[in-house]
Amino acid sequence: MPSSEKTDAWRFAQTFASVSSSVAPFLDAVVAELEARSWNPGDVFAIRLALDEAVANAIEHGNRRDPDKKVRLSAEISGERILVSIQDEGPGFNFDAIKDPTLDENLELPQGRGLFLIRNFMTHVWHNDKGNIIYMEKIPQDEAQNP
Amino acid sequence: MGISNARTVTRYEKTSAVVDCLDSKLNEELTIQAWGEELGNVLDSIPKNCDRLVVNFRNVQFMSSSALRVLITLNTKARVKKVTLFLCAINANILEVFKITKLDSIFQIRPTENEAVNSMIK
Repeated sequence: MPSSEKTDAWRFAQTFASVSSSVAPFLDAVVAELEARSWNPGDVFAIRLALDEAVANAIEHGNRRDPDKKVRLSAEISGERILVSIQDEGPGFNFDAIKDPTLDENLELPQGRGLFLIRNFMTHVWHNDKGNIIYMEKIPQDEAQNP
Repeated sequence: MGISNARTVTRYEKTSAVVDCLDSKLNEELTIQAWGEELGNVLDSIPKNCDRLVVNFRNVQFMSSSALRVLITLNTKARVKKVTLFLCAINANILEVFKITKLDSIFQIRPTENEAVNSMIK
């Protein structure tokens, strides 16, 4: 468990335009909160990367960079976990259709690693039936390994 | 001393063009686009006596899969020009990204710039 003295939960929810620079302050705020709660740097890096990839997917593949479409983010951090949801206004994504980028035939394909990284760096990842909301949970490494 | 651009500085060591990445974060779309263009320009203008392009990541603390995309494309282009792309001084968290994605198997990755400039190609 992170050696934080902050025990109260931190919650955040906001809607952003489909522009990565508009979301960056939110991602920075999440990282600052995790650091304030003494989460280990490896977990903070993993969460930042997963959030970055999920936001990029929502903007690029979900909303197709349509400036009229929004991305809705919510996050809750407590001492034991972070839970994030990211929703776009696209038609939905088939999460099961992603090729395994680590197979030899896919290794040198430029695209297709975002969701793979999210699934590898977060403890639990799931989505709604439509495929336009991704939920991610991270439990600190020592918690996950020694529940 | 080297050739300075917005996102990179390029030097020449022995038979290597060595590119220092100046950004601590390689995740913003415009940053990555400019960074990728600068790396591509270095490759396009690489002197005939250089057979390796070394990208030094000592300043980089964070990168997303968009940056990986740039490196994969650069690696492909380098191969066509018979130039070997080396990556060096990658921090532990980012190196984990290369390992998880198995991209460490297609890139020549070295701990230090000196090793990248002088080591044998595996």
